[in-house]
Amino acid sequence: MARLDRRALFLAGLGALAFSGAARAHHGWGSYDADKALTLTGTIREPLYENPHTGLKLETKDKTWIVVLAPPGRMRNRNLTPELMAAGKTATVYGYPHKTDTSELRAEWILIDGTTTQLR
Amino acid sequence: MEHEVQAAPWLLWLQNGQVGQAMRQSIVLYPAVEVLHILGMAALLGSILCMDLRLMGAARAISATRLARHLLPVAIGGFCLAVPMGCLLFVTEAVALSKNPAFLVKLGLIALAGTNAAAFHLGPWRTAALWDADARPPVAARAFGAASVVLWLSVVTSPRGRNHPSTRISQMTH
Repeated sequence: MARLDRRALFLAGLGALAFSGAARAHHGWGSYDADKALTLTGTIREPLYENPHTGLKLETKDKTWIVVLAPPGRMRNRNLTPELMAAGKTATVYGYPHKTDTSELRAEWILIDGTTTQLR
Repeated sequence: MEHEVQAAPWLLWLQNGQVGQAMRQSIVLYPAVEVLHILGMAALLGSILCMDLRLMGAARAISATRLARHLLPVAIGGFCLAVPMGCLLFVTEAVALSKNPAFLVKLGLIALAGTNAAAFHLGPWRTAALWDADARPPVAARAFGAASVVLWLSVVTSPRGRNHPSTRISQMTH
């Protein structure tokens, strides 16, 4: 390869890297603040057992959180059935609040009816 | 459901139709579609990057037109797998995705990458016989190749954005 071609390749690589930085900002656990882990206990409202992620509203004393859980396939594998996370039950979750949406929490584990389920 | 009613009717129809329901509720369907979407993208990106490197001046001993005859069908096949699978993923969360800036950016990048490819085929590629092998591709070809690398990598790495259950849960109540 001539020198110019190498330089073009290098620039293209740099450009691609710059763009991919944006990808990390949004996806998965990256948008949640692991330094501010919380344990919340409350009442399950509106459980949603659907792809791509299950979730529920957790009504605590202070406020109602939107709690993001695992995809339904993983929930099933770990015996966290829709029946177990039924509305009205008490649940405790440990997780991380969203960095910008202060009502959302991504759960690391959830405790319902004496059963703790890891969600990662 | 009031919030959902505000969405465009066709998006609601799409999301709440049988396909959308199945995508959301089946344990196997969504992950399978995701895998096929990624496979399609891998074929598309892999073949396009190899062609781009050739256009940028690498592997000049290999005939550019013959390489294209081998790689383009792979790229088109990958595209034809990634797009319909991507549409299924879209239907799953059509309402939220249609309002999701990151997703709209991703669509825009796909359009740009496609335009870049089309412009290249209508432009510098027409002279390919002149620099088919053992010759440095013209500046225009190298530039289109580099732009293609950046654009397609951006398409693949650009996030589809955040619309986790929070969007759907809040849609159901507000």
